[in-house]
Amino acid sequence: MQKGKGRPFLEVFASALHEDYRFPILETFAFLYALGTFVFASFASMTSISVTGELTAYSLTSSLLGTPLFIFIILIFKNIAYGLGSDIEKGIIQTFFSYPLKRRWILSAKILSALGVALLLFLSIQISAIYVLAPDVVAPYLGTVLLTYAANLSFPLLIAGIMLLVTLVLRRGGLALVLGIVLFFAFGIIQSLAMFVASATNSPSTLQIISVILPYIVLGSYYQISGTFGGSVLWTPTFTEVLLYLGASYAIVASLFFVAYLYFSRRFGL
Amino acid sequence: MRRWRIILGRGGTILLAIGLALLLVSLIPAAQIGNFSGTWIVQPERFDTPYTPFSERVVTPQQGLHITATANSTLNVYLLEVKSQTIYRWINEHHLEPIDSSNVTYLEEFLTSNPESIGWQNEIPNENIEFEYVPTKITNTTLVFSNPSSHFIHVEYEGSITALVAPRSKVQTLAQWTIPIGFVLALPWLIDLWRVRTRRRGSQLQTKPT
Repeated sequence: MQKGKGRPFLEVFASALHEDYRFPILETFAFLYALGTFVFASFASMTSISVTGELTAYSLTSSLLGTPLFIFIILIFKNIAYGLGSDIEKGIIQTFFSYPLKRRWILSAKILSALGVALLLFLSIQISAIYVLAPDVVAPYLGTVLLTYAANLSFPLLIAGIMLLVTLVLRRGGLALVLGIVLFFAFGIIQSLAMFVASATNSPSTLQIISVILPYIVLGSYYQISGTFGGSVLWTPTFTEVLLYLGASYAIVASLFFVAYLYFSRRFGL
Repeated sequence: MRRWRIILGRGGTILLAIGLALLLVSLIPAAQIGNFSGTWIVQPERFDTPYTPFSERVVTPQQGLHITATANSTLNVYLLEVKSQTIYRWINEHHLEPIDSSNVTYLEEFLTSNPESIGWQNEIPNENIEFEYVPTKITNTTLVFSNPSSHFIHVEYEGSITALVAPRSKVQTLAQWTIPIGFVLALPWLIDLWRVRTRRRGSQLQTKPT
């Protein structure tokens, strides 16, 4: 960003924040994240001391990524499809184009508000809450906790990227929101199917393919939580493989956002 | 100035929301999942590890141990985050000659070498003592009575294991801090918001045709 462009960027960012998080949206989500973390955290599967600290940290983090993650997804879907979509429909984006600011910075301000603030709130509340719950589990294995979050957040960010692109192309958020919800549930079905096929064919190929989009499967297989069927282990990936799959999934997410930036900067017209 | 007031105000309302969630969590009652009681006579200069339901299993940060003990003289009580066998094994490994592994001196040696294993410790000062212990990790737990005196001590104890959503005292303390801080930060912004709304309502009433 060039010198002197900071103020218009902050203006756009402040406007996006105002639109995305009207009182008391942010407060409601903060309340739900804090409450959800404690209510859904579970040590049920860890009833043996032989379970390693790393596996405990992974299992504890995974246990609270069900409903609270879904709440987070609702927030980012609303911000991208409804927030950005209504800004385009109402012509607010057109007003921003008159600012002495490049288009990519306008989109950056919108994404920072829609995704960045939501992500910061979600991660800071959840990690602080599990630290309060089990400090001796979280502190020595913070890397494992962050890796589990990274693996689980890749898919919501991928759908957010698709929704962003669809919102920009169609210039309305309603359809993008429907598509996002459909994709979210469709991938849940695809994941179950992939696991069934892997179990039936006794081959991890389907799990490996779907792990490129859902890297939490490869992480689960690494910790032997998923990828084990009927007592037999189908897939035991190495830690390097986990990182490779995670990197590949984030590369797909980054490329989607890159295409959205390119479209917004060069092709997007009102 | 006004923008800073909004930022601080929204930060305050978020803290207030988190504080209320923590307060709600601290109000969720604990469910009792097991209880135990016993009477023990601790020999002079010896320590004992009475059997409790948690001797054979691990406890998690979502489980609390509530113990009440009464002794007829001063007695040291410990909750150690190890199995009782670990204590005796350590003592036997460090003393190759035949010894009485229940001697208080060996327990003190073990505690000096493994201070991280002490989950909780106190002295029963010739009367009733009551305490609650919530571990910060998944751990084994052993109740230890140590009698450094030269006479027999009679001790009665009873306790319960509870299932918790979160460590109540910790969460309550956090709520007690976040709610007032959040309220103080949010107050100027909330007053502003209220003033703007009343002014807007007033101007709407004035512009209404009679």
